[in-house]
Amino acid sequence: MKRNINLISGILLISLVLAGCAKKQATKQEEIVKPELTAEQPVTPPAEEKKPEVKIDFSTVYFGFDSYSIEETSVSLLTEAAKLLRSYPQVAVRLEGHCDERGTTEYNLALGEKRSVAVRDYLVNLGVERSRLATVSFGKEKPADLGHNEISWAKNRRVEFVVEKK
Amino acid sequence: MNNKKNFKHIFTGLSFLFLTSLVAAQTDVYLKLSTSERRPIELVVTSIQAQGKIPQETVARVKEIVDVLSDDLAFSLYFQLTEPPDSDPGYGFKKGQVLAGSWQLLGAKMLLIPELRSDKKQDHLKVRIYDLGVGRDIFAKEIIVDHSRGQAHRICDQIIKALTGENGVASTKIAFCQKNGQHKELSLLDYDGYNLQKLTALNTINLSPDWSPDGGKLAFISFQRNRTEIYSLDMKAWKLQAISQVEGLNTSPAWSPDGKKMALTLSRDGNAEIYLYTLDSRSLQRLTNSWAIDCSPGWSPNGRELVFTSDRPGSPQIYLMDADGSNLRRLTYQGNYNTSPVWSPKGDKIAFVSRINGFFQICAMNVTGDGYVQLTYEGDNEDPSWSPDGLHLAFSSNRTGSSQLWLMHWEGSGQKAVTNLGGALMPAWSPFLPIP
Repeated sequence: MKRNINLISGILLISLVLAGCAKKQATKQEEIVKPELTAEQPVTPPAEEKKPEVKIDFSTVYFGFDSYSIEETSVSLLTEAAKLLRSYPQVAVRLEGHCDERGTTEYNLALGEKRSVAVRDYLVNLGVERSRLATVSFGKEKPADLGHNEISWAKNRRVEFVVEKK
Repeated sequence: MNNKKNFKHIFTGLSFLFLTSLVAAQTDVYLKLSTSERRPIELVVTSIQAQGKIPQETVARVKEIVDVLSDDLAFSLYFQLTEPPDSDPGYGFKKGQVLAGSWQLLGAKMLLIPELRSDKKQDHLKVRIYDLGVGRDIFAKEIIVDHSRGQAHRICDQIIKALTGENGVASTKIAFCQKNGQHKELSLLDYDGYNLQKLTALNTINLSPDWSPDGGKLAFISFQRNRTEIYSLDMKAWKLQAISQVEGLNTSPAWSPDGKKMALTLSRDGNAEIYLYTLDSRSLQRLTNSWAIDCSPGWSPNGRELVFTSDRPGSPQIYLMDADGSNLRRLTYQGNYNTSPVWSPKGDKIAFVSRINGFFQICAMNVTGDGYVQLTYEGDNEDPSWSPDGLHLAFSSNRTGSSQLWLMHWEGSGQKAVTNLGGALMPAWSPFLPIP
């Protein structure tokens, strides 16, 4: 237990230093220190805490059949994505456009491209530099769900964010 | 053999095809056919006429080649095959002479008589086409049997050429995408589904094969660098060449009929548009200009026009334009999903994919946009590709549970699967290929 406390104080020390140089990340650091409240949890070695882990999770954007317009339900997650991208200017993403299995291969390649471009343009409008947003289409070639029903199809009509650079 | 049943009802619709094809016949063509006959020729393939003593197993092996030839002739639509009576192998012959009346009773106009003789090492097969009306051979060809299907295919094409002046499709090939786990590689088949040959092992997704007009190259989309790019495979030099790797989409390659240009779909200017790429000068000309998707260009056989898919009316529809991008016309108004147009090499029809009651079906129409007909009804059917004589279509269908290649005749009859693989799609029927 004593050793644990030592480790934790080490983490605290480092996070204080970090908090000093990066104001914005201070809240993040408080979260990382949380383990001291639950003694049962293994404590991560301090070495890994030297650099705050930028864990950026972008949500996938979904579309209607044969559609490439951004739906109302996607607005909040795209706003959140733009905020994240603005906070981490070192991050670049590849926007991968996909379609469901219905429809023809070549049209779906163009449709996937339209979807990825629609997401890119939306983020550019929210202030993200275009140079950080690459687009690519896989058409119907890489379904996320292999089923053959509307539930699966809805999961496959999507644009995924793939983080390229940190 | 199932085909034969389906043939009867095709023939009424076929008359006009033969009218045009036979009028255009060359001078060395069997004239009787080119002037008066406008229907498929009723043909009986007789039993093998062995000259002298030939072992039964030799006859059986040669019969396999004759069966390939029979299937080719039946599929060609130039012939209607009638089965000879099984019970009597000597039926209709007396001392080697044809008893015309016996065959005419079966409705036959012509006979295909396979004659087999063997010397010490080789089996010689003579294929005779005997006209019962005039009582003589109008075609004869002798070969040393090598038991390859290609030999039978070549004889079929020679018979069709001699009798109609047209090129037959029996020696053509079909390139396609073969599923291999997450990947799709290009493969090649004889037109009837035999002789599977793998063309690529790029360990990625490869799509949309398109033959150069001389049959020497295949253009296709490849994800080798994790994005769509267009490559060309030289099938003689066995070399891969990058054709288009610009930013954004590089899809739907379509070689012009003169082989000098390629119509492509690129999104380099921000949106999927159709471009004309001149291969020698590497110059690019943009043909479409719309905020919508424009893709899947297909050439008219004379190279003057392009048919393509556009969703500019709010749903994908088939459009037509001149090869310089002018004179834009919309062709389809039926339904809200019409894509993948392909122009018949005969020039008179455009086949395409239409979404009907939630399923994707192969349809065809006249180049004027009228005469819409639905050709498939089971499962989802995509990727239509015309045979070089314009009489048949290859396509992919999932009606049996997995995507396989299918063939049918131009008006939808005679549908048959020609693959039974882990997954086969995007057939591209070859042009007439030079005889090796």
